[in-house]
Amino acid sequence: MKQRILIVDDEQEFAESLSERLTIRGYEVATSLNGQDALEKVKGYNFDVVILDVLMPGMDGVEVLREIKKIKPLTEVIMLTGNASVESAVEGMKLGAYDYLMKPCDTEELLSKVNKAYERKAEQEERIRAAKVADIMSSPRSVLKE
Amino acid sequence: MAETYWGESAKEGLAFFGKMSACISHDIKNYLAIINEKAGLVGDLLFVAEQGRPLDTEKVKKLVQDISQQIKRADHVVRSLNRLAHSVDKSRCVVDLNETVGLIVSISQRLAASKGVRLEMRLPTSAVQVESNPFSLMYILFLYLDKAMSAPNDGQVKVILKDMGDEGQVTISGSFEALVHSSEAVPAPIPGLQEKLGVTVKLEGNFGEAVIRVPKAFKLKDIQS
Repeated sequence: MKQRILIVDDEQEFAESLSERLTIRGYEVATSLNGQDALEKVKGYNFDVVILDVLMPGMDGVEVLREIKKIKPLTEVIMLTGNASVESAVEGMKLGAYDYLMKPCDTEELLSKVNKAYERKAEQEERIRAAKVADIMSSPRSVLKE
Repeated sequence: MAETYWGESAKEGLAFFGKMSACISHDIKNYLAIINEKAGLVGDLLFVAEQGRPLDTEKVKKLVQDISQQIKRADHVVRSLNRLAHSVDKSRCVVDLNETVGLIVSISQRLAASKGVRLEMRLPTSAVQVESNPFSLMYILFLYLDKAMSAPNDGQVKVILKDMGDEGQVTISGSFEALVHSSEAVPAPIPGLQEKLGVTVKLEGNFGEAVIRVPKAFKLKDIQS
């Protein structure tokens, strides 16, 4: 299955170019130019990884991250920052972001982080599935209660 | 910078310089990021063409044009940084207010966007030249613009420069009520700087406008950049 990526950046030309490059590499990619639109897309679709710009007009990246983690806790987020200072990105890590990168970023480094973030999400989903199966096996009637 | 006048308030000037430089460097980073992705996309398209996929030459041409456009935008921003940096070279010189207002508004665009504010600027067709201290004048103009961006009227801030004969007049729209009701709202060096430069600032229209008047000829009082 293709990895599902959402790129969130107010710089349309950046978002579209990166989207096309990831699509060529076999990823399924959507873009959002602001935080509100990104949250709508996250609500409506199960993205594996969100690549999220920190500094955006209106809702900034840290706020968007906080909301994404409420809506889809398992969706991994990689923060992109244009600042030399990484304070916001570090704050993002504390809020559950998988990692951060500084703009302009090396493509191979970005892909490596995207793939690792995807693997972590897949592992967590697998653990949850296994726990549910174990629960059912230990108490088959619990299924009837759900 | 400014040891003879700014003195203990020099940190305010440095903070202004830092804020401007941060805005500019962030813009440059964004342009570089776009150039990086577009150049990378050209490389990707050439790579897949080598694997047998037809090359869309029109698309490659468009990408090359886009890269060139981004380089021009980045160059414009770097020139702004250069002008800002050189504003501390002379403590007194002829200042083109059209350029100065344009520079401050241009650098502030990203700050405005991050606050959801639209910045609109109107400049006269002919240059308005004043004799002043370029760095201190920029600092004063930015202070009022920054206050306006924090309290805009209907999400918009207008900056209008007019030639009033013996002075240049910069009108900035926004809500300046906080400047009146809080003694801490105006940084310490501002009143002194205004006096040294002969600049007067009047809040008009129920505090909805700051009208900044800059004399064309003024005997600057012991001010160094």
